[in-house]
Amino acid sequence: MKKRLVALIMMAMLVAGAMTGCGSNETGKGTEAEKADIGKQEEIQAGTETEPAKETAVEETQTASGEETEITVWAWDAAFNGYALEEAQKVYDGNVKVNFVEMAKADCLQKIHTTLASGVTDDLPDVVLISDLNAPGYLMSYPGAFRPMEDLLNYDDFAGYKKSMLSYDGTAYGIPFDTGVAGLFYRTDYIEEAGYTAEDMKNLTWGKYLELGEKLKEKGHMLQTYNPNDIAEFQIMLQSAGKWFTDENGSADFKNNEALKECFEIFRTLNESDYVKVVSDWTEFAGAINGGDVACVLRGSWISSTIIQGEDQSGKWAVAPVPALSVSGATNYSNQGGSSWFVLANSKNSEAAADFMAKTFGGSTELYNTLLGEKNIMGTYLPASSVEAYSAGSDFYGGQTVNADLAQWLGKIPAVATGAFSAEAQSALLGVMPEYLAGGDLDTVLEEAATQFEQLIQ
Amino acid sequence: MKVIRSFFKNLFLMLVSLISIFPFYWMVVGMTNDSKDITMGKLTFGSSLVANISNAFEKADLWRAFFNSAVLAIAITLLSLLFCSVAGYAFVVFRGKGKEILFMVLIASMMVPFATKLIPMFRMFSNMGLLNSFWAIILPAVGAPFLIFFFRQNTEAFPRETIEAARVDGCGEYQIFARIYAPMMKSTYAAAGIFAFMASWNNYMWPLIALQSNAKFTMPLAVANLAADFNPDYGMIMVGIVMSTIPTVIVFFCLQKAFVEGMVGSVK
Amino acid sequence: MLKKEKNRYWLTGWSMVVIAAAFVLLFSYVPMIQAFFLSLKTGKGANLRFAGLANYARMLNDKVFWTTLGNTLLYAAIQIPVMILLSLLIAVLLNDPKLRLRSFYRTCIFLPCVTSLVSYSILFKNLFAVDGLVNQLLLKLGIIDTAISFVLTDGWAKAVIIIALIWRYTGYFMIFFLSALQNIDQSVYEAAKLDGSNFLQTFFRITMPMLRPIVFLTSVMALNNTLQLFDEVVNLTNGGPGNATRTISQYIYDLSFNFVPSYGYAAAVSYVVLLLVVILTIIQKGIGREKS
Repeated sequence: MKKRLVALIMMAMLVAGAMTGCGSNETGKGTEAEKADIGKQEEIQAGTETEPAKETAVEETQTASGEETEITVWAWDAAFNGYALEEAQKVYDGNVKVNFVEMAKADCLQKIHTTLASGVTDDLPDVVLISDLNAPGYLMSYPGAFRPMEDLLNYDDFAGYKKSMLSYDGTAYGIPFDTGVAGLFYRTDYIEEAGYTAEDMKNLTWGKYLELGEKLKEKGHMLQTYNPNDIAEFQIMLQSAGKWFTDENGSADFKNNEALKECFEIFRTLNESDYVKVVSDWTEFAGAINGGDVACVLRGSWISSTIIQGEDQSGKWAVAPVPALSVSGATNYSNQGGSSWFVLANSKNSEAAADFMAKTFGGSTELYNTLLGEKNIMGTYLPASSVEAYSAGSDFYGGQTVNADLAQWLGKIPAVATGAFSAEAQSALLGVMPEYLAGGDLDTVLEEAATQFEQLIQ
Repeated sequence: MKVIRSFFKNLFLMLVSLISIFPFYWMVVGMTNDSKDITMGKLTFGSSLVANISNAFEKADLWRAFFNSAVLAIAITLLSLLFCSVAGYAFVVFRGKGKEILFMVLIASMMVPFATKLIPMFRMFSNMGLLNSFWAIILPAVGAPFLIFFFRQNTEAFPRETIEAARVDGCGEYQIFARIYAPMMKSTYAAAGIFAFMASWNNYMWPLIALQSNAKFTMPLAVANLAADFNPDYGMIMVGIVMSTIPTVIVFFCLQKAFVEGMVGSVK
Repeated sequence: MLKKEKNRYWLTGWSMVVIAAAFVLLFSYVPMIQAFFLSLKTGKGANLRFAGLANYARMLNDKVFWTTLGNTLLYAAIQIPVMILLSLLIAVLLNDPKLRLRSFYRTCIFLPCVTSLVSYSILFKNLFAVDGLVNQLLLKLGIIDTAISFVLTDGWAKAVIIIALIWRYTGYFMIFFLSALQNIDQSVYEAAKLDGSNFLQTFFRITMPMLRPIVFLTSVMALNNTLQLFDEVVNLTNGGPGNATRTISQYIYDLSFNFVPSYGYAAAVSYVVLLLVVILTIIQKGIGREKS
C-alpha cells in the first residue's frame, strides 16, 4: 500500500543522504565550507599516496607562519603542466598550496568559457591554462576577467613572439609558459640513403624538401604524413614567413597572402604525390612516426615526446630548422602550439596567485632548469636559455644538443599578431579544401573561404 | 520446414551477435596489450594487463571516481524511476487536455541541445551554491522527460479493466499504482532502469562543468583524464574503459531477466 | 458528492505528475528560456547586445549551418528507419520463449551501446583505414581495384558514420521493443495461432498495433539522438573532410566553445533545431494517427 511507496521514497532519500557523508554538504550552505573540506581530503590523499607529495606537505606546514593560501589551477596533462606546478611550488618561498584540477584540454577550455560566460565570481579558479592560439579569443570575450600582468612581469624576458599572442588591445595578460618552437625532425638513416646530409637539412627550402620526397620514395621510404583534413602545418609555414591567416585588424588575409597561397600549393603537391603517408587522425599519425614509415615530421618541439616513444629508433633521429617558403620575409624559424597561464582578476586568491606565478614561471631560472632537465619541458623565459640543462647532448638524437638548438631558434621566431579568429580562419579554409584538392581554382576557393570566414566571425 | 526456419533465425542472430560483440571483445583484449599494439589493431590477448592496471590506478583515483559514479547513478535511477513512472502513468490514466499540453511541453525540453542550456544552468547552480556538490548532478536528472515518455507509451497498452476492477474493490489511486500497476509493469521498469542507469553513468558534459575538484569527478571524467595525456597510453585507457563499462553490463544482466518473465500477476 | 469525487480524481491526477514536471520545468525550462533571450543577442563572449532576430536572419546566409543541417537530416533519414526496423525484427525474434540462447543473443546485441566510444572509434578507424581490414577484404574479393580512404572521402565518410550509428544503437532500441513486447498478453498470440494465422499475419495484426505507441516513442527518441549527434562524429571523422560529416550539434558546440564564442547565435541555431524536431514529431504523430 502506501507503506511501500513511503519505503521506496525513504530508500531513495537514504541513498541521497549517504552522499552527505562523502563530501557534499547540506543544500544551500555555500561552497566555502565544501572547498575546505575537499582541500583536506586531497591533502590526506596526497599524504598517503606518494612519497614526494608527503615531503612537500611536511615542508609546507613547517614553513607555515601565517595562513596557507590555496591557489586553484585548471589545466590539462598532469605529467607536464601538473608537474611544472609542483616544481614551481618548491621554488616559491611564500606559503601557498596549489590545488591542481586536471581535465582534458578541450574540456578545460570549454569549462573556462562556461564559467566566465556565466558571469559568476564565486566559483572561479585562480589560474587557468590557455593555449596561445585561443588566448586572444578569451581576452576579447571576457573583458575584465583576466588580470593584466605588466606590473609584475618584464615581458622582454620572454621570447618576442609569445607576448604578441598574449596581448589584447595593447595590454599584455598571462604568464608565458611552454614553447612550440617548430623543428623538422628527421630520420638520419633514411635521408642518408636518399643522398642528403645533415648539412643539406639545415637551410632547406620547401622546393628542396619536396625533392627529398621523390628521392626517398625511390629508396622505399615516405617523406612525411599527410592528412587532407588537417592544416596544422600551415601555422608553421605562415609564421615562418611572419604571416598569419588574419591581418592586424583580425580580418581574413586570404586573397593577397602569398605565403598562404604557397601553403595551398604545397598541400596540393603533397595530395597528388606518392611519397606521403596518408593518415586521418593522431593515432595513425603517431603510428606512422613510431612505425618507421616516414622520414620527416614537421611540428612544434612538443612532438619530441611522441618521437622518443619509438625506443628502437634511438640514435637515428635529428632535428633541423623548418623549410623556408619562397615568399619575401621567409625564415627557417617558426612555432606551433604552446600555452600560457592566466590569472583571473576576480577569483578569491587572485593577488596571491599572481605573485606566485610571477615569481616562479615569470622569473625563476631554477624552475626552468629543473623542468628542462627532468622532463624536457621547454619554456620561453630567455634568461633560462643559458642554464646547464640546455647544453646536454641527447642520445636519442645521436648526441645533438637538441635543447640548445631549439632555444637558439626560439629567439628568432617571427612575431605575428594571431588575433582572436585563428580557429575560424582554419575552419573556413578547411571547408574549401576538398574543392581545391579536387582541382578548384585557388583564387576562387580563397574568395569563398573569405566569405565563410566573414560569416563565422559575425 | 520448421527446422530450416529455425536454422536461418539462429544464423541471423548469431551473425548479429558476432558483429555486436566484436568491438567489445576488442576492448577487453586491448586491456591486455600495450599502447602500440592497440593502435596497430592487434586482436589477440597480450601480456600487459598487470602493467596497464597499475598504470591506470597510479594515474587516476579510479576507485573514488567509480564510487562517485555509483552513488550518483543509483540515486538518480531510483528517484527518476519513482517520479517519472508515476507521472507517465498519470498522463494516461488521468488523461486530460491540460496534461496533454504539459506532456508535450515536457518532451520538447529534451530536444534542445545541452550545450545551449549549459551556461544558464551553471549560473543557476552557482547562485544556489550547489556547484561541486552531487546535488548539482542529481537534481536536473530526477525529472527525465524521456522516462516520462517511456512510461506513458507503455501504459497505453496497460489493461484499463484492471484499474477499473481495483477501483470497484475500493483501492485508492496511489494504491492501484503501487500495488497493481508497478508489479505488473516489471519489464517496463527493468528497461527504464537500464536507460536511467546508463544515462546517469555516462553523463559527461554537465558533471564536467558542475564538479570543480578531481575528488568529486565521476568515472567518465576520470577516464577522459586518462586519455588526456599528450601521448595517450591506450592500454591504460582500456583498463579505465572496461572498468567503467562493467557496471552497465551487470545492471543489464540483472534487469534483463524481467524481459523473460513478462507481465507478472496479470489478472487474466 | 459527484463533483467532490471528480475534484478528487482531478487532484490525484495532477498530484502524480507535479513532482516530475516541476523538476523538468525548473531545471530544463528556466535555462531554456534564458537561452531563448540569449538567442536575441549578438556579440562575442560576454560582450552581448540586444539585436532582435538578427541571429535568425544570419542563419539564412550561413553556408555551414545549411551544410550541417543537411548532413544531420541525411543521417536521420537513412539511419533511423534502418535501425528501427532492425531492432524491431531482432526484438520479435528474441521474444520467442522457445528460442534457445536468447539470453546470450540479447546480451551480445545490447553490448555495443555500452562499449566505450573511445575504444570503438579506434577500432572503427582501424577497420576502415586505407590499409585496414575492410579494404583488404574488398580488394581480395575483387570488388574494388584500389583501396578506398573511407574517412577522407565525402560519401564514404558519411557511410562510415551511419554504419557506426546503426551498430551502436540497434541494441539500445531493441530494449524498448523487448520490454514492450512483454506487455502483450501471450494469450492473444495463442488465440491467433488457433485461428491459423502465420508469423507475418500475427506480426501485422497483433504485434504492430500493440507496439504503435512504442514505435512512435522510438522514432522520436532516435530523431532526437540523431539531431544531437556529436561524439561519434568528433571521434570518427572530426567533421571532415571539409564539413562533409559535420553535424548541427557539432556546429553549435564549435560556435560556443571552439570559436570565439557566439553564444547568442549558438542559442538561435538550437532553437531552430528545436522547432524542426517539433514539426517532425507532429508529422510523425500525424502519420501514426492516420494508420490507426
